Amino acid sequence: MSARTQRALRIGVGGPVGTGKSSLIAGLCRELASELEIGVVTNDIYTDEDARFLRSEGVLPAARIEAVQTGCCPHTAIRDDISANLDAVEELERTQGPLAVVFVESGGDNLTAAFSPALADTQIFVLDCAGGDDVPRKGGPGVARSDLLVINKVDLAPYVGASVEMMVGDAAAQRAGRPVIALSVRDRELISPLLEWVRAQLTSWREGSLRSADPGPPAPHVHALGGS
Amino acid sequence: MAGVLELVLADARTPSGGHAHSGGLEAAIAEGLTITEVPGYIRARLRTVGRCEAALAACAAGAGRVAELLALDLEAAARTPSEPLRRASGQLGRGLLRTACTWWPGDRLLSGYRAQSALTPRPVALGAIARAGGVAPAEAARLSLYDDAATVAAAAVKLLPVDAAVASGWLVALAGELEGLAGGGGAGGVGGAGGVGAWPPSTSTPLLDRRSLAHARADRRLFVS
Amino acid sequence: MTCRVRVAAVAGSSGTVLEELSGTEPWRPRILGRDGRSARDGWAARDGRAARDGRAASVALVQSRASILRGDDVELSVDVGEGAALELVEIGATLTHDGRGGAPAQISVEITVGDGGRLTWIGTALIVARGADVRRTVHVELCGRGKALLGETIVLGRAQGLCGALSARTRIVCDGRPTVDETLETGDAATLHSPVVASRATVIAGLTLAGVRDDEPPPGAMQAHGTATLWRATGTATDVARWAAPVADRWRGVLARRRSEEGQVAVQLPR
Repeated sequence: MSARTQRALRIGVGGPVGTGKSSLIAGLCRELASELEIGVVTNDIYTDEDARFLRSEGVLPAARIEAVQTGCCPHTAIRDDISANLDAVEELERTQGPLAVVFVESGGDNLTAAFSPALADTQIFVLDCAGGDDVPRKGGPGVARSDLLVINKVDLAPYVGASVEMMVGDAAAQRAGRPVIALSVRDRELISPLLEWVRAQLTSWREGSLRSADPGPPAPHVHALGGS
Repeated sequence: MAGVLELVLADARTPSGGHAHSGGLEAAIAEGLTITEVPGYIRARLRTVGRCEAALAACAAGAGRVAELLALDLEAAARTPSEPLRRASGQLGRGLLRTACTWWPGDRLLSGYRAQSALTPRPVALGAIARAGGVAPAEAARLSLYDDAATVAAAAVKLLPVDAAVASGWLVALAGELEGLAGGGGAGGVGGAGGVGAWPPSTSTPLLDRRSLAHARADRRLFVS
Repeated sequence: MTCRVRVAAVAGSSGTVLEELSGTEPWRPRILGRDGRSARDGWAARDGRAARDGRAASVALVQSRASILRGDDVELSVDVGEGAALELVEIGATLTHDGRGGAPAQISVEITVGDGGRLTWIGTALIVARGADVRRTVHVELCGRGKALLGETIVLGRAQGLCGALSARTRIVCDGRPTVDETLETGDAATLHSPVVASRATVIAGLTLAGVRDDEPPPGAMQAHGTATLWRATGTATDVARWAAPVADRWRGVLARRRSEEGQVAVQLPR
C-alpha cells in the first residue's frame, strides 16, 4: 500500500441543517460496522447533540465518535480552517486505529458550504424532500459537484407534495454523470446503493485510484433568459 | 520578508483553528459579563496570561534546539493549571504547526518540535514558527498578544450584539497597551541561574481557570475555550 | 532590616529531628511539642494535629511582630531531609502595611525536600493593606519522591480598605521538572478586580499538593501537567475558609500516606 492509502478514507457528509445527515451516518454505521472499522467526527454548532444521538443509537463504540466545536462557523471548520477537524480525525485514527473510514459530519450550513480536499477525500451532500423540491434546481457546489448527492427522506415526499423524480432529474442534469441516490434511511433496499458507493470509494482509495472532484467554487453559470 | 510573515501569522484567515476559541469570553458571558465589560476583560487578559504567553513566545523565538522548546513546553504547562486550557492551547499550537510545516517542510527545528512535543502550547509553537520565518522575539511576543486579544474580540461579535467595527475598535484602543507589554516581555530565558526571577514571568488567574473547568463540562457551547 | 530564618529537619531513628532551627529578630521559630498550642485561625492548623503525628516535626514560625513592613528583607530557608517530615505552622495572621515608606518588603523562601521527605505549610492569612509593597517568592525543590502541601490565604485589603501591592510568586520543581509557577499580583486594581483574577472577592486562597497527586480531587481542584493537584478559591473570608477546610484535611491525609503499605494509610491524623 502506498503511504497515501495507509490512513482511513475520510468521507465528508455535508448539506443544510435538518436533512438527516446524522441519521444517514447512523444508518451507514449500523450496516457497515460489522465489516469495516469506522470512526465519526461530528461538527455540532451549539451542542454535542449529534454526537450524543449517534452514541445513543449504539451503532459504534462511544470512543469512535468525536465531537468538535466550530465556534459558530460550521462552513469555516470544513473548508477555510480545518485545523480542529483535522486534529480530531487524526486523534481518532491514532487512538482508535487502524480505521477504514472516518465520516466527518458538517454542522449543516447553506448550499455553498463544501469540504476542503485536505479534510475530506470524498464527499456526500445530503438534501431532503421536505426541504423543498426546487432545491436541486437552485444548484450550488454541493448539489452539482459533490461526489455523491443523496436525496433523503423520500418516504415524506407524498406528504409534502415533493416530486422525487423531479429532484433526481434536476440534480442529474447538473452533475455530468456523478451519482444521485434517492433514499430513506428506514428502507434497507433504498440504502443499499449508498452502501455500495461507500464500499466502492474505499476500494478505489485503497488502490490509490480515488479521484474526487472538489465542489469548491460555484460552477460557472449564465444569467440569461432561456439559458441553463 | 519577516514583516509580511508577521502579517500572515496575525491574519485570522491563516488556518490555526483559532476561530473555534473565544479566549474564555463565552464562559465569562455565561457568568454575567456584559458588552461594556469586554474591553476591560481583554485588557486584564493581556496583563496576565497574555503577558506571560508573550514572554514564552519570545523565548521560543530565540530557541535554537528542540530541547529548549520542549523545556518551554513544561514552563507553559506549569503556568497553566487548568487541563481544559492546556488542551485548548495544545490544539491551537498543533494547528499552527501543521500550517507552518506545510510552508517550510525542510525546517528541522520546526518539524522536530512538532514530532517530539506532546504539549505544543500555542505560544511556544508560535515562537518556534516565528524563528523559522526570521521574525524577532519581540515581534513574536506582539503576535502572541495580538492573537489573544483578537480571539476575544472576534468571538464577541458572535456572542454579543456588538457591531464588528466596534469590536475591532477595542483592539485599536488597546494598541498602546499591547505594544508596551510586547516590549517589556521576554524577560528571563530558559534555564535560570539567578533564582526564580531568571525564569519567564508567571501569573495567577483563579477565575479564568475556574470558569474554564465549568466551560469544558458545558454541553451547550459554541467555542472550545 | 534583613533577617534570616533557617529550618533543617532530618529523619532520625524515631521520627524527624530538627537539625537546625534559627532566626534573627523578629523571627523566633520554635518547635511545637506534642501538646503545643497552635494557631486558631480557622483551617490553617488544627490543634496539635501535626505535632501528634509521630513522624513529623512541627515548627511554629513565630514573630515578635506579626507584620511585614516596607524595607523588610526576609530570607527563609527550609530543608527537609530524605525521609523526614516537617510541618510549618504560622501563629496568627500577618499584616503587611506601609509602616515607614521606603523600599518594598522582600520575602524570599527557599525550600528543599529530599527523596521521601514531606513538608506541610499551610499559612495563615496574609492581609495586604493599603500602602503595602511586598515581593514574596517561594521556590520549592522536591527531590525524587519528596512531596509538599502548601496553602495560603491572601486578604485583599483590610475591612473596607483598598488592597496594597503584593507580588507573590510560587515556583515548584518536582524531580527537576517545573510543575507549578504562578505569581499573584495585587498592585493593579483594575486587573485584580477583573473577571480574570478575583472580581469582587476579598480573599484569594489556594492549596497546592505537589510531588503527589490526589487521584480523586475535590470539585474545582485542577490536576497539573506534572505531579501536583491545585485548589484555588476566591470569595469572602468565611466562605473561603469553609470551602478550604475539607480540602486541607483531605490533602494532609494524602501527604501522610506512605507508599509501601499496600495502599493503606500508614499515619492516621486524629480529628
